[in-house]
Amino acid sequence: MFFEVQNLEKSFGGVKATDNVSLHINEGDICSLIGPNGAGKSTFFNLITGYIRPDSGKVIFLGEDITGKTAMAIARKGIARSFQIVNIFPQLTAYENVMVAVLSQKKRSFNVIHPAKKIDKDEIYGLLQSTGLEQQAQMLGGQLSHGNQKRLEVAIALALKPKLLALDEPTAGMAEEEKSAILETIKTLMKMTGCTILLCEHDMSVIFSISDQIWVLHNGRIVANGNVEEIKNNEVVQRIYLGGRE
Amino acid sequence: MPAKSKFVWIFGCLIAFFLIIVPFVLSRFWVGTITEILILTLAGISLNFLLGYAGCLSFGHGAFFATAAYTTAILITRTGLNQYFVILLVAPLMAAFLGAIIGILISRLYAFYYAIMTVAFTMILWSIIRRLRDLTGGDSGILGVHFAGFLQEMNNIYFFTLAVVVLCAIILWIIGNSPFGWALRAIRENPVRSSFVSINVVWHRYLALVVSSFFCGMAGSLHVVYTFGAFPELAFWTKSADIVTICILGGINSFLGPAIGSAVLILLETFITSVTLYWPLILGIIICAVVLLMPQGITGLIRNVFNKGRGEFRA
Amino acid sequence: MEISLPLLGTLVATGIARGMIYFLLSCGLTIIFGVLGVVNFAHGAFYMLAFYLTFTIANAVGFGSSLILVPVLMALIGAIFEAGLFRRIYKAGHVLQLLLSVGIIFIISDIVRLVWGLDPINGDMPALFAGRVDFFGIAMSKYSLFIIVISSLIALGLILTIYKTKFGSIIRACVFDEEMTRGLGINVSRVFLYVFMGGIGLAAVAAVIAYPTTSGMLGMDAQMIIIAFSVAIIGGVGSIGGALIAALIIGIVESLGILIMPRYADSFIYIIVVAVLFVRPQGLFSLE
Repeated sequence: MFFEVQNLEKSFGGVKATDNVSLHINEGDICSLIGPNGAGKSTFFNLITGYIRPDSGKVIFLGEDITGKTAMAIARKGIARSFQIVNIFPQLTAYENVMVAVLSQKKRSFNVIHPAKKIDKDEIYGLLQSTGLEQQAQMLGGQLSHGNQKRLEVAIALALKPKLLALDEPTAGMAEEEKSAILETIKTLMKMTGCTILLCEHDMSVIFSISDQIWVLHNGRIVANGNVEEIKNNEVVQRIYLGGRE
Repeated sequence: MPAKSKFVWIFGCLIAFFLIIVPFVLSRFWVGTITEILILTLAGISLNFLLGYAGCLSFGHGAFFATAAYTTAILITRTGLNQYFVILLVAPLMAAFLGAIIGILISRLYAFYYAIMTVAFTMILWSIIRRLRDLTGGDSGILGVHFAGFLQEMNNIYFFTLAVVVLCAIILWIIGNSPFGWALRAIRENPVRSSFVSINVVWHRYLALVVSSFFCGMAGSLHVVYTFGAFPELAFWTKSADIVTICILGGINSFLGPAIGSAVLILLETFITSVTLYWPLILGIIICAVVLLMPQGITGLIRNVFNKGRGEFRA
Repeated sequence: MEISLPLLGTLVATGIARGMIYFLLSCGLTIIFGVLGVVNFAHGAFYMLAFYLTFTIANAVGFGSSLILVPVLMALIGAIFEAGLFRRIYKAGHVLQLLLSVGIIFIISDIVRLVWGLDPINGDMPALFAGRVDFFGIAMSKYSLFIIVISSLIALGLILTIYKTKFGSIIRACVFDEEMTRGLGINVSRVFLYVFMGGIGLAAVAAVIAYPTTSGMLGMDAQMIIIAFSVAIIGGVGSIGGALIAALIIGIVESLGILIMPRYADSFIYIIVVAVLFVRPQGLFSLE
C-alpha cells in the first residue's frame, strides 16, 4: 500500500477531532478528503504530516510506520504539504521562498560556502513557472495577492519533490475562475511530477472535477468513500451537504 | 537600483581608504578609538548573524566575548604559549565551546525565553569570573597581557585588528549568503513552515549560535590585544546590551548595520563622557529614542530616504 | 561545623521571609508579562528606585508611612513609563521591547546615581520589629515574621483580586485573548496601564519590605532582576503558584547556602536554574 492510515484518533480536551479514521491512497491517484467546515480535515492533515501527534492509530507510508514522527522527518520521507491558511516566508521573495525549500530538499542547507542564489536557479525558476509565478519571482511573499500566495504554497511543497503532496484547501478564499486555474495547475503538475495528491476541500464542485477517490469526513469520522459517481449518489453525503445537520 | 549601488561603492571605497590611512593622519587616541569601534563591530556582526538572520535574540553575547578574552589573557600570562595565531584560534574556540554548551539548553527556545536564558548565562559567567580569583584575578581582572612579537605598538595593533575584523566579516558574509544562511532566514521568518520544508530548525539555530559565539569570541580576543587585559565587566549584562544596541542602532536588516551602530555609539560615548559623567543616562535616552523613533536603525532610515527618492521620480 | 536543629529552623525562617520578598518582586514581572506580553527587563531597576525612595521617605516621615507611600509613588512612576514608552511598542516585537527596557534601566540607574550618589545606603530596623520571637521553639527575628505575614496577606489579596473580582476576570480575559477582550468593549489600554502600575507597585512593596534587612547600592537592580528571572525559570513563566514555590526555594537555598558554603552562596541559585533547564526547560510548575 502506498499510503495508509489505520484507526487514527485525536482528541482535544475531550472532543474527538479525529475519530477512528482509516483510509488508504493508491499511488498515482488524486485522492480527496471532503467534509463541511469543522469536520476535522485540517486536524487530519496535521496528524499525518507530523504537526501534532495522534493519540492512537497508525500512519504508514511506503510500508514504513511514520506515526508521530516530526514534521521534518515526514517531509524528508516524501510527504509535502501546503496550508489552508497561507503559511509562507513573508519577508522573502517568491524566488527565495522556493529556494530555501529546494536547497533543503537537496540536503544543502548545511552548506556554508556557496552563494545560495547561484545554486539550482533553473530548477527554482522551473517551479515558479509551473505554478504561474515567474513574473512575481522578485516580489516579497507577503506582498503577493492571496491567489498567488496559495500558488506559492504549492510551489514550496513541490520543491520538496514529494511522493505524496498533501494540499490543505488549495482554493480557500479564491474567486471561482482562480479556483479552476489552480486546479488545472495541480493536474498538470501531477502529470509532470508523477506524485500522488491528497487534497482536502469543503467545496464539493472543486473536488468532483479532478478526484479519483474521495473520502468524506464528518465530525471527525469517515462516513463514506468511493469514486466521484458513488459519492454524488451517496445518501449520507447528500444529507450532510444538503440537509444541513445530521 | 544603480544609483544606490553606485553610492554604496563610492562610500565603501572612501571608508576603506580612510581605514587604511588612519594611523598616518590621526592621533594615537583616535587610532585607539577606531580600533575599539572595529572590535565592537565584529562582536555586533557576529550577534547580527544570530539576530538578523536566525531571529534569535542573544542578550548574553558578552559571555562569549569575555570567555575568549579571559582565555587569551590566561594563556598568555599563565602559559608559555604566546603565539598570536594559535591564541586567536584557541580563544574563539573556547567561546564557541561555551556556545555549544549553552546551545544545547536554549536552541529550542524562542523570543523572550531565549533572551532571558542567554542573559542568565552571561551573569552566571560574570559571578564565576569574580569568584575564581586565583585564575581570573577576581574583580580587578587580568592586567598587563602583552602579546609577543609585533603586537606591541598601537599602529600594528590597529592594522592587525582591521585585518582580522575584515577577514571575519567576509567569512560571516559568505556563510550568511550560503544555503545555511538562507535556511536561517527561513527559520526567522517562519519556523513552523521551515520544518515542513524539511529544515532541521533546532540544529540550524544551534549551529548559528556556535558560529556566532566563535566570531564574538574573536572580537573578545582582539579586545585583549588592544586593552592588554581582561575584566569581569565584559561578562556583565551591560556589555551584552551594548552589542544588541549597536545592532539595532545600525539596523539588523543590514549586514554592515552593526558597523555603523558601533561607530555612532563609540563616537557618542567618547564625546559625551568628555562633557558629562552621566553617559549612561544619555545612552538610555538614545536607546529609547531609537526604539520608538527609528526601529529600523540608521541603515533602515537611509533605505527609506532612497526609496522615497525613487518613489518621487516615478510619480 | 555542627548544625543544630534550632539554627536550621531559624535559617529556614529567614529564607522563607526572603523568598516572600522575591515572590512579590517576581509576581510583578510575571503579571506584566502575562497580561501585556512584555518582559520588563527594567523590573529590577524599578525595585532599586523604590529601595532608594524608601530610604528618603522613611528618614523623612518614618518607615510605617513609606510602606504605603512608596508603592503608590512607584505605581505612578510606572504609569508614566507605561503611557510614555511601553504603550508604543506592544506590537513591535520582543527585540525592541527588551531593548527599550534596557534603555530604561540605564536611565533609572543613572538617575539613582545622580540623586543618591555612589555610596551604599543602609536601612534602619524599625524599633517595633527589633529583636526575636520564639515560634514553636524556633528563634526568628520579629521582622522575618512580619515579612511572612504581610507578604502572605498581599499574595492572598492578589490571588483574590485575580480570581474573584471583575477586574481580575478582565485581566484573565486579556491573558487569554487580547483581541477578543477588546471586542467585548473593554478598554484594554487602560487595563494594561493598571496592570503595569500594579506590577511596579508589587516590586515597590518588595523593596520597602526588604529595606530594613539589607543595604542598597548601585547594581542591586541586576541582582534582583536575575533573581526574578530565576524564579520565572524555575517556576515556569506566567504561573503565580509556580513563582511562589520557586521564590521560596531560592530564598531558603540562599539562606542555607550561607551556612554551608558562604563564598558560593548565590551560585546555588544558578545551579538550580541550570538543573531545572536540563530537566524541564518549560519550568517545574508550568502547565505545558
